[in-house]
Amino acid sequence: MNIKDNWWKILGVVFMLYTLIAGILIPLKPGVLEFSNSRALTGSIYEVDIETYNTYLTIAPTNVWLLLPDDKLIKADRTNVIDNNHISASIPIPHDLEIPTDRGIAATIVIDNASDGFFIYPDGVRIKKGDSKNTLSPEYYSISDLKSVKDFKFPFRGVVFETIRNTFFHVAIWMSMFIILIVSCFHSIMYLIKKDLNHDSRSAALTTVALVFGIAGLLTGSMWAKFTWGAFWTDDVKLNMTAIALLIYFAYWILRASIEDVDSRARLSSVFNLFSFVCLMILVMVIPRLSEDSLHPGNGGNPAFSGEDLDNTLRAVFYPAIIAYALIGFWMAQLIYRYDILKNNFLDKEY
Amino acid sequence: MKLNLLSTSLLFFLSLSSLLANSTFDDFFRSTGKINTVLGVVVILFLVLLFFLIRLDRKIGKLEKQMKNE
Repeated sequence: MNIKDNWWKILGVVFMLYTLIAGILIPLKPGVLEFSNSRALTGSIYEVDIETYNTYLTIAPTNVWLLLPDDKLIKADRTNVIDNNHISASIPIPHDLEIPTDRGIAATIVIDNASDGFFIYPDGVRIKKGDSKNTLSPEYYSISDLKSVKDFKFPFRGVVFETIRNTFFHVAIWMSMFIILIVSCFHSIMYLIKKDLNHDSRSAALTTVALVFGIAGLLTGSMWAKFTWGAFWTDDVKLNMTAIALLIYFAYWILRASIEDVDSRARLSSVFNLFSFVCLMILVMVIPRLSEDSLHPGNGGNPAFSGEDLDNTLRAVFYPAIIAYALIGFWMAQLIYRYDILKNNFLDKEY
Repeated sequence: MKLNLLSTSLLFFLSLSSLLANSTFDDFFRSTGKINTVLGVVVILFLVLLFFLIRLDRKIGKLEKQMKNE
């Protein structure tokens, strides 16, 4: 197996190993898991027990704060670190805090120390007007008073927590499926122009691999959904449209299997391949974005995938993952194609 | 057809191994250090598939050479 022809296979393997190792081992940023008390009243002390994640609260002095909507911070006047992941705090709420409506204002819990930097639970506490006569006027701080550290860790997001790593597996497989399908459509077009059956064999092999990637994407997505959001499938636009698109590609397989004559099979399946790709783009990319509401990022009223959902730390593993799957997909397609060629030659020789 | 089935099951198992890596109950894997075991399992699965791919590649290469020499 010479390197000159197969360098890209080795590159795919290297990227795949990198994706696996970095994707699984790099830890999450510190975060707040649970806290005991979500109500506070002006003019009284807000007491709370907090459980955190991936933190080392005991090795450096830790502060607990409440971040108000106008970006001012109130510091806890008493904190008690129980262990590396548990802390309790008392925060005095100023009596003269402006509460515009009966619903109160939402405050964010902030914890910081020199080792973990700062991390938050956004809008977790509701401050309402209290009727106590105490005058509490704690000092206000600003966000620049918080300690921050530079570290390479994945974002800590509620609900998904560690399964955010699925970005490198589930999401990356879908992206690489698109890449493989684009190359497959290229070969379909080339067949229609040049009538060279090699192009048809190539596009069939690539579509096969892409369809298998699609099934893998659906399976991994269902599994992720079950453990993270509680259901294998929902009535989400993108999910249903993706299932329909994959069904259309199944029809491509059936079409190829049902035609005996090599030339008409090649012609019909090339055309169908192009049609399926257009359908895929419309069903999976266009319609979900037009719909009213969707669970997927970037569709139906949600911010786009690269805005809120991709961090630079995630990107560092996400893009190599897409390349890894694409290269390994091309490798598999190449094997299918070479086998196909061998089979045709064998049949031609009439042993 | 046989090769299609082979590649299908290949990728099925690849996706399964991805599932193993990602259906992490955050309570369970959180602090027990077992994530290294998970990584080990996934890497081993991947290496097995890789070995299969390389073997297939070599077999086909041999056949191609035979065809060319005839």
